[in-house]
Amino acid sequence: MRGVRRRIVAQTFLERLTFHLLAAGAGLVVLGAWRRLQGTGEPWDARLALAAAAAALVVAALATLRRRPTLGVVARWLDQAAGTRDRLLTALAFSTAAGEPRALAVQECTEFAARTDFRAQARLRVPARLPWLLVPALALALLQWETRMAVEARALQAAAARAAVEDSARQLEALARRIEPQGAATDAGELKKMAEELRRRAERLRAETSSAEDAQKAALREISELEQLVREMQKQPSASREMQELAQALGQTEKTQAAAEALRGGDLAKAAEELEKSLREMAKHKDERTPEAVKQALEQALKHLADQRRLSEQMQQLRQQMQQGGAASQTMKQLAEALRKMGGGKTQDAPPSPGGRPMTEQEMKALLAALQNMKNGEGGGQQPQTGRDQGRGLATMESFAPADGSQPGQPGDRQLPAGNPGSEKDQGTTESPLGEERDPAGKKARAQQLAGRLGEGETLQQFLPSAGDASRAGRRYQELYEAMAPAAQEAVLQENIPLGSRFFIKRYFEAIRPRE
Amino acid sequence: MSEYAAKVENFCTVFRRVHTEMCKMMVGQDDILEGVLVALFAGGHVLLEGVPGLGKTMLVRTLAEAVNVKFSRVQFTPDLMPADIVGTNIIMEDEQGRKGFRFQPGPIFANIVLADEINRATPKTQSALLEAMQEHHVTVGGTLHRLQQPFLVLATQNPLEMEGTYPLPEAQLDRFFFKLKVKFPTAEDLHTILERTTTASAPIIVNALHDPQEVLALREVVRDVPLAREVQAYAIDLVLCTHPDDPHATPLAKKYVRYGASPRGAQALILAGKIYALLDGRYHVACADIAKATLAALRHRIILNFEGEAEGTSTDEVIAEILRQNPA
Repeated sequence: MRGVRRRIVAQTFLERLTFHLLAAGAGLVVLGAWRRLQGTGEPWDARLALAAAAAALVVAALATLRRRPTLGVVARWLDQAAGTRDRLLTALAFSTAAGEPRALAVQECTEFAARTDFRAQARLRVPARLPWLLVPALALALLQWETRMAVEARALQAAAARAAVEDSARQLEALARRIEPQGAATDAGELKKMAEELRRRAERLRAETSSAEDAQKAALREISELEQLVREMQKQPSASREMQELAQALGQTEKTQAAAEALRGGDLAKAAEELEKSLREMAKHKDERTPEAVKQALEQALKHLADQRRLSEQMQQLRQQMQQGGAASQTMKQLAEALRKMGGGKTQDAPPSPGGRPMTEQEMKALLAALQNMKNGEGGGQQPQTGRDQGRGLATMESFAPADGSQPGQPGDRQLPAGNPGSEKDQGTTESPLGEERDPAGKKARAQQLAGRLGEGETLQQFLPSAGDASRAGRRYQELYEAMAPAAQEAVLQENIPLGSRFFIKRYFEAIRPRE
Repeated sequence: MSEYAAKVENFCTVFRRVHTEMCKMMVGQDDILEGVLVALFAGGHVLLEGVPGLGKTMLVRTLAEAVNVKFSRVQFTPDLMPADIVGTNIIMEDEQGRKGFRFQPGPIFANIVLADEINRATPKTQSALLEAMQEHHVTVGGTLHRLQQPFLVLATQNPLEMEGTYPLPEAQLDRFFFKLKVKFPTAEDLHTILERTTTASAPIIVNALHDPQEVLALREVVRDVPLAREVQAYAIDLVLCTHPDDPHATPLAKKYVRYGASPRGAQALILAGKIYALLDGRYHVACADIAKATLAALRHRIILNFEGEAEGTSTDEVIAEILRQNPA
């Protein structure tokens, strides 16, 4: 029976080991799925699997040893399995007992057990749960495969993104390399700052772009931010900035140093006095070189200010072209050309605008406003079209004027509301309360341009294609008023209206009454 | 061969011989014969339940002839008095003319007593059997009169006639070792019965035992059969499962049983199991032997509640479920 017990223990250990391996496998699958969702690397590895298997082995061994069956349990189990009529149990119970009946019983049981082969009952069998181990193994293999596929896809995506932005980033860095020495040569702080910013943007473009779809968006975003930077630079140089430039120019000559000092200190009156004083002295001594030197310094300062403004114009054009879907590399090249020209001292005009002429400040502002509208998603890509009078920078709107040339809002016009509630002209446009489908302007309608002029302030244009149709009433107001008036009167009579409010209520109803 | 082995072999021989002799008269009731013999050699009493005309009286008479013991029959009627069973003192005149009381033993003073239709007698009369069945003696007029040994009571019940009957109380039912249900014979068995009973030749019963005291010796052999503790635990589990409050009780027991089997039921299981083990050629008792005796030993010791009786549930169904839940 001890031999049988060993086999039973081994069988029990195999069963428990299979069970705990299944549990460990399930745990590995859950852990792997969680790690996959979190994106924290491989879902599982060989070390983790070995650790789980070792833990299952230890737990199974401990559980088996803890619940090792006694000889009595083995005897009972074997009696039931072999159908020995409790002979083993009896033999075990009376193995040390005295008395002839018990001795006879033990002898009979022993002889029976000796004649019986118990190996068939104590044979080691493959645990029934063993095939189920394939399930977690397969799940883990699938997880591993899926994770690898996802990693490869991400790598491909990142490579594509890097390739998509590489050109733009290289262009930005090339720009930075070009304007850096020019900024150092001309001591232009804005150029240095711009060069540094370009380089930083290029690095960020490479680092943060994760997919090819985001490449253009990222480039656009960088351009927008550069635009913002340039806009700040493009702002009318503040008086302090001009003062500094002027002070710097005046400080280059000895005779005008005092005026320069006064300008730096912000004392304009003193600076004007010193400058006049210097002019009197120069006229007294017939000094022609100093004025000439001051003139050249002033020209240099003005050129510097103009260069900043041109750079701002170029950045805005660059952004506009990006929004229109142009290749970033192409726009970068244009910007590089402009900067190169500015750095070489050639004061050429800015690249021609879409209208064939240099853009003025007002046009630039209008363009910025249009870009804002495009940002807000209203007619993306649309450009405010130039009107007939191009010199004024017109903006046009389409009107719904009828083809017969009548102006909107004239008496007797049944198609358009007059705008006065209660007016007899607001007869409605349909006989039926539900309204009728109709073309608001008719087949003979034509587009008509309205003349206008852009003022000095900012202009915001919005295109509302559906404003006209939605504002029409589907029923005659007179009829509606007559239908609802009794109910309103009854409500007013029933309500306990405070005395002070009755006047306003009366005025209200008089206001909405259809007028004769 | 050791002495004990010889005794065991003798037991088996006598048992089979008595069984064979009884089979000459009884046809198709092997399980009933075996049960009655088991009760005889276990020292218990038997309650036979069956419709009239199945040979219950014949069975008891045949048993008495085969075992060579004294047999008496008592027909229980509603007007039967206890004194009609146990006996009474009567006034007798001796040769000198002096009058005095003398005990006249009743029919209970036999080795095998057939109490026919015991449920027809009044409870007072039924209780007259209680002392005799348990103590093997009766008290009449303050005088203790011992009964002959071996003493076996075989009571019969007619399940058909319930009107005007007095169901046996639980205390008396518990004193019966086995309750055996006599089934109606099959067609083949009826052929045999008719051939034996309607012809001129009648079978002759041979005494299997020469001395009734041999039964007592054989009872000792039965009690000497060793029983492992695990097997005894199995018997105890079976009895405990009949109690509705026990955690191991089956659903039927919990639902339909009011009172479960008493310790006498466990005693019956053990003694019957020992006899079955000897008959199987073993010197030890197996759980299968206990399971074999469960139905006959416990069916009359389980009291159903009102719901069980209303649902028509039988104690046999309860015991069958217990055996399914506790396989041997």
